[in-house]
Amino acid sequence: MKAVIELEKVWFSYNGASVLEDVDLVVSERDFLTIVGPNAGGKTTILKLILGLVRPTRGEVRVFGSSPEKARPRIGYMPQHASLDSQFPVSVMDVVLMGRLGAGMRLGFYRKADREAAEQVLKRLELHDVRHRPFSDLSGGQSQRVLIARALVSNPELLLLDEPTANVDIAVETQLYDLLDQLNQTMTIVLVTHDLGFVSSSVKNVACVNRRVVSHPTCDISGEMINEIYGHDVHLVRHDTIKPKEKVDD
Amino acid sequence: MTEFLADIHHQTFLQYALLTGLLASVACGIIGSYVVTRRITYIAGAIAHSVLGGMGAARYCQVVCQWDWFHPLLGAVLAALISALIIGIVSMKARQREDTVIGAVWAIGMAIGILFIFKTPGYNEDLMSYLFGNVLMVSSKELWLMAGLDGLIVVMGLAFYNQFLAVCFDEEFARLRGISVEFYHLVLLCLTALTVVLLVSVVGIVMVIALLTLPAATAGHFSGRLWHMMVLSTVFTVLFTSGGLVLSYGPDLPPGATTILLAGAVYLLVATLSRAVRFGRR
Repeated sequence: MKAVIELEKVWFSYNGASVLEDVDLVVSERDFLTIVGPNAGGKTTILKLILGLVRPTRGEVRVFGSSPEKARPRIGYMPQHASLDSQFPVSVMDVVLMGRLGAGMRLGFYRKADREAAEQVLKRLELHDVRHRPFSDLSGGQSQRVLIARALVSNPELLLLDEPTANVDIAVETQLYDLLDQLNQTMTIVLVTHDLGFVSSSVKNVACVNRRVVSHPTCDISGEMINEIYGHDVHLVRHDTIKPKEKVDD
Repeated sequence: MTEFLADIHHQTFLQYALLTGLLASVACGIIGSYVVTRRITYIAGAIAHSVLGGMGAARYCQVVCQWDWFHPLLGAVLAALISALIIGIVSMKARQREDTVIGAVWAIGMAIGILFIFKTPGYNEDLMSYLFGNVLMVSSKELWLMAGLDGLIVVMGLAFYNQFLAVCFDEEFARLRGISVEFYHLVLLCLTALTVVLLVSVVGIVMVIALLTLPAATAGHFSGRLWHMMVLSTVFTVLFTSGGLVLSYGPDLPPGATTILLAGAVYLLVATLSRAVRFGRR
């Protein structure tokens, strides 16, 4: 199968502090990879490396066989909801249309095709009824779906999601996973979460990150292992190569 | 109030003052909304204060070097644009030092202005009118200059609406979609600089930030979309500048300060009421 994302011996440090060390990671087409690990363990950094928002200190990142910057138009990205201003005066439609920026628009105006694409995605995600509502009025689950809609409206081949299930209840979580399962039939998905307990059956691979990265197929993960990762506060995954220094605080 | 209505028909200075407020309101409503949502009020504050350097230098050149064409308004435009570019470029290169640069531009600009005004022969009334505004002194030539600036700001502010919206809402996402965030950030700062110059004529350097942000912040309580905020903010600014002028005329109060107090009072009222309403709903 074709490799969509390749991280080769990637090191990354920020202000002298080491964030990632010697990371090798390959994500192939139609994979559904969940990146788990403690806070500040480097999960989000991996997404930023894939997006080219930060550059590795050493090593190489390739997305669709080229540089992350060149691959950007083919990637849909959903950031952490907490990073946005919850009071911002913007409608659901406005937010989703942002996903069409750059691609088709000329001189600052969206075209009919952009609006149609947005309408379609909104219908698919059952957000069509709230499309004129202010983004700030929505529930946690709805606003997460709006951000997914914004990521999807550019028809990406790769979908990156940062903590899509933060601040939503179990029912919404299940719905979100059903949706991702569906999307996974046509696109590669990489999802970051600090909550491994909730890795669903749709996830195919798990990468555990705490400065170093260890990947597992989901089938290898047992209940016992999850306990080891999150039940106690020390061990991430029992691997001889890993010596986690930070405690898991979630 | 009655005195104002009686005099406006035959006093051109009053008509000019009213027109100045109306012109500034449109730019203020549009750019003020960007400034508030992007949270760059303090950058606007620094640009506003640094304008004194340009106005002082221009006045000095007019009086001492006989450069009649170097109108203080022109000096203000130059100083504002230079400050905007300095703050914008430095903050992009060294993000964590942004506040230091803002403070430096703020004070250095003022210091330059004070030196020039101090060394300009004649009355130093200029300093007071630059700092606190004197909308009743606006000439027809200045009015034309301001109309030109206003047109430029409004056209640019609306033409790039979608890009500015994306950059203000989620800079990182805008960058991923191929928008040059740096470019739009600089354009927005330059438009803010030009708007500041317009507002300096209405309320003076010291009170510019209030007029740039209070109407937009007030409008924000009633707006679900950025352009709603802009329209409403423009309406509020028109009410505040005209109201300030009308209320101050009879009792002979400074119109700039009256305008700001009016804007501040309405903002506080709306902020308190909307909090009370939200609390009541719970």
